[in-house]
Amino acid sequence: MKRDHREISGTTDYSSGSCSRADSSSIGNSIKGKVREEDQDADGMDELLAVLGYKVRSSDMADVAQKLEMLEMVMGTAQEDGIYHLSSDTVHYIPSDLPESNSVFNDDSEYDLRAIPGVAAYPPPKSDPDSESSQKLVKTSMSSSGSDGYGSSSSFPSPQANGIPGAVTEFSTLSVVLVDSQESGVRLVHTLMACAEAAQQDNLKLADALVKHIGLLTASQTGSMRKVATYFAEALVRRIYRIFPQDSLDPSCTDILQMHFNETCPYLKFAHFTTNQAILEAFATANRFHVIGFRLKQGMQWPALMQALALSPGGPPAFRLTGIGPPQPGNTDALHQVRWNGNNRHRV
Amino acid sequence: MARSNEVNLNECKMVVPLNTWVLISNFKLAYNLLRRPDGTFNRHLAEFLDRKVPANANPVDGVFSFDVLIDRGTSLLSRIYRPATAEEPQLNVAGLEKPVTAEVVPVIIFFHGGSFAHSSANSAIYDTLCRRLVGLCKAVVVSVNYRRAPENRYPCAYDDGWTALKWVNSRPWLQSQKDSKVHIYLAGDSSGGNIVHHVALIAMESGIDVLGNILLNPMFGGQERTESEQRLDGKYFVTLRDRDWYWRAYLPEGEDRDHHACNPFGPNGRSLEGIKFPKSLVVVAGLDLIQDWQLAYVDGLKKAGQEVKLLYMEQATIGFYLLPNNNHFHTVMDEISKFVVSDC
Repeated sequence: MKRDHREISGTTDYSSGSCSRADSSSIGNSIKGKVREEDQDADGMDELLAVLGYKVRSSDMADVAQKLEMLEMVMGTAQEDGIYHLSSDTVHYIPSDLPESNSVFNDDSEYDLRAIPGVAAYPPPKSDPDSESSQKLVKTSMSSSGSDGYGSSSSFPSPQANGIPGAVTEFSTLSVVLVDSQESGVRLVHTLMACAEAAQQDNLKLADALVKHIGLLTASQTGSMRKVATYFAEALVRRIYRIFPQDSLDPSCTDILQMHFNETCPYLKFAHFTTNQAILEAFATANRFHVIGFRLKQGMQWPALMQALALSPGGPPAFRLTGIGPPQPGNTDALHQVRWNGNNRHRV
Repeated sequence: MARSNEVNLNECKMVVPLNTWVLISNFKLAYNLLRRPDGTFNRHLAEFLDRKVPANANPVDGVFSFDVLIDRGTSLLSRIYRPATAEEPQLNVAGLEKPVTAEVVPVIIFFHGGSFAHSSANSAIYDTLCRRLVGLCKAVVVSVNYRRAPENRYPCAYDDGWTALKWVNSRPWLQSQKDSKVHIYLAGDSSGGNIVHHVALIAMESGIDVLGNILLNPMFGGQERTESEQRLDGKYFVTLRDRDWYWRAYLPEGEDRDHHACNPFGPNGRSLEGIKFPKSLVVVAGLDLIQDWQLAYVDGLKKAGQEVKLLYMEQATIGFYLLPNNNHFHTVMDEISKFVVSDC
């Protein structure tokens, strides 16, 4: 991530002498702080740190060092037993995400970790969106059974494709793994977990910061992983911002409407049919069934299944149905009101 | 307390280049956040913060890498680094495991550091280090992604190391042409150095030959507080308190630091006298607070009649081998390449 040089030099001013520590540390810097010319790349970035995933301009090194010292001071004055709790209250910013304004930089937050340099989850956003897709073309990966691979992110400075889609990059990453380590997928899972934990502990600042990362990470996924992650992310966002669905219609009304809809249109019935078939095949040898239905509503899928089970060759298996429904207004338990025709036929 | 912290920070900055200081301080502060006083570890945050790099089957600076699943049961992955040959780059998977062609090819099994709790084989700092070793020693490097504490305590890390060793030893494509055997060296830094010792022990007892051990600032300890621990506590990035935390996280619950995993030549250790053990290269940083334990380790080997070379780098701090910007780095790399001799 590139730090705006102007911002930094504006606020950390050695010569002001406002803090006596600044003087002694600047002396220390002048002894050891010289950065050798050959350690910098063309942008003035410290090459050695860049390779390790930390982008810091050589000219900013001393400032960054001072920020780290300040950070340690703050951490040091925290409780004796360690400062792990700061990770709960800490907000991790990617400076490039922050709006360009001086007021942001003057934030007095004790737990400001922006001092820690480096490429965060991703290389800096490319100016040309087309280059993303051309890179993806070049990348090949083998997948056998996915195992829990490295949790990771790619922090190598990414190859810059020129703007023409499909152009061959000079330095392409042929990431071949004998096992699909699903690196970014695992990283996504870690971030989701960390966000969920934070939300559960009511640490909404951290959860909010993490959920923004989830958005980015999800974008790099495809298929079912992307879908699942998107739903989770949405759920987390709703939890964090306390956006709860407002039922505009009386729930019993929507239930009836839904019932009529399902009677007239075959789509849901078809889905139920195929699902029940799949269940019957998968559980062919089972003699106990426990169905847990989320959003049970009128539970229309299950009578058909129960009927099929009742007619199975070895006699009906033991069957248990647990319904989990949304909280109802007026404290009526809508689930209790669900009755199936012919319920008496299936004594279990 | 604040005053002495100021002194520490300044002293520290005097002995390392500034970018090294920034790198290691960054780690130190991040790690402080991850350790909880109740002994648990904020793993998700740790994974989020760690800089990782993917493997790359295209040669970069003459080295290419790929990941392999060694053990399905424990999800044990390793990253393999190989020198690129002059021929075409690998375009298919079969090419990755092409047999080594030289008469003798050292295979270095590497265990990354992190005090048993941090880092992975695909952490950027260790990916970089392993790549260096390939060129330096003309070797194949296998970096083991062993299970970490506190979720996985002793002896998981050693078990994983042993599993990896057996795997390496049984790869036909890693056999040197000279004798159709795999020429195995073990290397590691910090907790990785500790793992090297214990895995070598298991190997030799099981009849698999390890040709040499390389221990960079290996992590050892004991119940006693040694002179170096008291003198250097908190001065150069590391504190006794954090060392204690990591041992408590790795050792079985209820065990103290005289457990043989931590203190191999201590009261619960065993003598290596008369036992066939690989020659060892042990690098000790003069500003590392646990040096007394590392030196005791070297002594223990010597007393048992084992071959050991000590490299004591006086003004070096932990992590000096991560950046090639100091003399200690170059000295040590030189010694490592001499240690892993091709005609062994």
